[in-house]
Amino acid sequence: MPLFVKARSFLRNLFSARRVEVDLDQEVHAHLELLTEENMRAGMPPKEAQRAARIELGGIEQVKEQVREERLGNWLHSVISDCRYGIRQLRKNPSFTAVAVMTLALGIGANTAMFSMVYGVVLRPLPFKDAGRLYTLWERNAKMGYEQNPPAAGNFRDWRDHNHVFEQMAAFDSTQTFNLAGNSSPERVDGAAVSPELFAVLGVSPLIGRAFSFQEDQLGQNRVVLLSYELWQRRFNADPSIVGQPIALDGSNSTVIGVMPLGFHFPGDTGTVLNIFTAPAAQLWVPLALTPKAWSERSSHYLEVIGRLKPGVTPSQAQTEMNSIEDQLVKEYPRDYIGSDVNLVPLHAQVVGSVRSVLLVLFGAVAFVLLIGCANVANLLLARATSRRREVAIRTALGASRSRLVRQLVTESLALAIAGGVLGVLIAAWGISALKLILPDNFPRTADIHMDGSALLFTTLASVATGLIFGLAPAFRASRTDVTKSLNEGERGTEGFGRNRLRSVLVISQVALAVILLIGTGLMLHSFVRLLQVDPGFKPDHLLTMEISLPDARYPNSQKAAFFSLLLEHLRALPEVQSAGAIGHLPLGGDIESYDMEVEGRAKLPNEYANPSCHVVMPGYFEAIKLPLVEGRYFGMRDSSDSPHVLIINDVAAHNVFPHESPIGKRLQLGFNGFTGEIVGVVRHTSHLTLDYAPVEEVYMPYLQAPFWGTMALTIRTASAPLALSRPVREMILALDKDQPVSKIRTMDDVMGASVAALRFRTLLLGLFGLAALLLGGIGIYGVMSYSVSQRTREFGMRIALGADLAQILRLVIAHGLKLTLSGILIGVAGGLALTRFLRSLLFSISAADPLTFASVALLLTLVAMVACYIPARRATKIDPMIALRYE
Amino acid sequence: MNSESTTLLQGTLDMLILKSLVAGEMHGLGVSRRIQQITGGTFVVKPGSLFPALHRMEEEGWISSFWGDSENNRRAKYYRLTKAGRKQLEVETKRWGRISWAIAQALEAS
Repeated sequence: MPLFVKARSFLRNLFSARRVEVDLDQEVHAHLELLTEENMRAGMPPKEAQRAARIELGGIEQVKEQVREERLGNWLHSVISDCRYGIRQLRKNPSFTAVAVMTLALGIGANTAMFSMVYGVVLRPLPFKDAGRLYTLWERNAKMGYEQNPPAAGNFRDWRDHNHVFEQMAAFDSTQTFNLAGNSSPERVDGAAVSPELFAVLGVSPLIGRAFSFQEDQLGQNRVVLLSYELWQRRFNADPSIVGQPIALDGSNSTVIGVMPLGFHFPGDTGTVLNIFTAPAAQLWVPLALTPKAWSERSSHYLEVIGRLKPGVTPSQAQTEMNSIEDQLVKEYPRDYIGSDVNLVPLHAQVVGSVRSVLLVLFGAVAFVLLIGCANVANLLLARATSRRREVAIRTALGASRSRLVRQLVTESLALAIAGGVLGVLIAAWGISALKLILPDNFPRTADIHMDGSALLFTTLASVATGLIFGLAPAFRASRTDVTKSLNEGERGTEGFGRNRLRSVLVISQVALAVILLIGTGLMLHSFVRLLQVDPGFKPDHLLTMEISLPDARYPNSQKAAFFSLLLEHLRALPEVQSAGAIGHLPLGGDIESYDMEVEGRAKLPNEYANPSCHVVMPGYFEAIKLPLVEGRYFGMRDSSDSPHVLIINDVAAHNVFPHESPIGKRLQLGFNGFTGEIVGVVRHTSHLTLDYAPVEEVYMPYLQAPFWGTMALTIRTASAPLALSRPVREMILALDKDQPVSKIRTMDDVMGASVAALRFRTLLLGLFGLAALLLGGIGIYGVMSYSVSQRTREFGMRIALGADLAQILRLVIAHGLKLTLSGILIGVAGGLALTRFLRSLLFSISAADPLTFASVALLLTLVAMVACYIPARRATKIDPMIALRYE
Repeated sequence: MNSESTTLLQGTLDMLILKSLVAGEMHGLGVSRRIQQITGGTFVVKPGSLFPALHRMEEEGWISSFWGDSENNRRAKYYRLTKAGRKQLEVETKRWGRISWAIAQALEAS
């Protein structure tokens, strides 16, 4: 049985290695003796016979090594012994090992952390059945610049009823929050109102209980609620008998009909307005129930729509069909749908679309950092290889083949890389927690970011790849050693030209990578600074904001306004309060709602698309945020519910709708609950979305005259630190209504901060990576230059002895370093020009080829290189020619 | 002697070792001398090639080894052909016949 023989040999070679070795040794010695005997029989004297026998044998150790290499399982055996030897070598050199392992651990750790993020957010499939067929549907409105405008309820109904391409289509309103009262303290929870089809579209059914029925989307039958698993656990002690029980929701009772499975928070993580803002994770769901009038509404755009494509229908077929439906609507309702078509977005793109490119750029950046670190470790290995030439020479002399030597040296590198990888996993785990701290609030799928099997697999592969990248070239270089020369020369010795060239290549590529990375960082930093410089139109300092949501059940519309009037009156009496007001949606809060608008008694202007974003404000709002008045007046106490209705528009609306006349005194009719009023003022535009979004038309109404809004955000201008006031304000609210929760207590500076959080996050991370690249690059240049100086000690000693002055020596070394650096910078700039276009979509008001950024990065690296060269250069000038010339 | 030695073709060393062991069990030096003898001194197998080949063939199961005493009462490692080894020799002999015939044909072609 040959297979059996083979297996036995393999096991014997592996486990009885000692006996096999002794056997081999005896066999070769016996052979030598037989040869000697043969020679003596041929008449040679004993000494001569022995010598001739040795020559014929050709070296006992070499023969043994040749046999060993033929053995079955030799590779495994040699890997084990290489590892042992490698680890011993690394332990003999603790400082080298520590520096290399730490560099690699940081690099691999950062890469693993970024990979976990990319994998969790971008690559991991969405947790829905056959998620590839799920699409979100939006209205694209080129005129307004909206790529993703939510459709009005009437549109959704037409889309749903007239299409033949979607299996099912559902609508939801993700901006709902609820006051949850009951046994424990009242709280505000995020939720969504959803049409009954939603759960079927997603392919998710409740864990216990049932989903909404088609009758429950009728007003009057809609007092039912589905709980999220987490809310059920937290607030209802995971009690399954809660199903069928009433809970107090927004001041009245709703019956719990079911609990959704763990982790289901739809539409949480789904990008909403303009694909910038992400809906919060839903804690509960209620039926989307609208009055017949609301269902035929055409101008109030707030519903989000999701659909499941029928099997076999392609996205482009769906697109064609939806566009033809939309065309029909545009024809029927020309005022409401100028220039719009339907935008179908795959759900996955919807969820991760806005962050996909950010994450990929960051992943690329962190890979660059690892590569730069690899170059440093490779340089260290090269330096070490020089001092190990004797060892390599001896091993060659003893019969080690070149491939065997390369394998040994690469094993050492792999051991380094794997040690770095193990430590890197720890760093990654820490890094992921740190990343989550600085992630913007509306970052999608943060719950999916964690270390798991795929991350560990990535770490393993990354470690092995890293070990090969930095280990192969030095190993090949080291194994090419001239035995006799090395053994004669002793430990030191000048090294060949080739090795210096490899070093130069390493430094140049390091610098090039650092330049590319820093250009990216610079562009991002510039964008961030420019974004911060955008004038929001108001003064965000010393402003305290908080949200109060008055439930309809306890506060009919008229009482809502009264509540806020009374509250603001009390607030203004506080000595620290300079002015106070309230608005439905805070500026830069990311929410807008736009409605149809008509100028009374005037036909539409040719290019007019009046669909302004509408806000309700309490008197004192504009004064509190200091939004300048362009014309007319602000709202005052005289604009009460029984006085004539009034409006304020912003300068953008004034310019678009009244290009040649003053808007003051004109009357507007709005789709917002049919509100009609006279324009009394024009204020400056501000941004309700983000700072980088172009200003849109806005209309403000007095809340006292249009109290159709449950949630208001207070804006309180204070004389001192705003947050210090939050306690007295809360107490004041509780004194008015002890069951009324207050949420989102923050300063306006925080609101602005949150609106730039996404850009700040990527700027911060790229900045960190850029800094790491700069440091590693600097260390690389320093390492190579100081090595080169120590190699040229004799030459510099000679120069000094021959009368070179110190400045000349200094110049010589620095010029050498700068030559390398400048080559790197040139390549880096070219690479930057090629690569920064991937950044274009992430930049704000700066070109991806911004010459200033490129120039500053080049300058920065030159400076760093000069510092890195200066230290070894100074050492070169301090060489004592007498010592240098005697040396060696 | 060295001047006459010829580089062995890949794979022919195994065949020659197997062939030499047909005569009976022998130690490494014996195999080496036997090959020299049966090839009329054309092939001299150096220990550096011989021992790796012997060990490899033993692991393949074509030959087996045991320690014995040499003609002069010295301990030496002896090798003998196994059943699998005889079969292997047949296979290799046939293949070699084909190859040498083909090459001879090729060289005779005009």
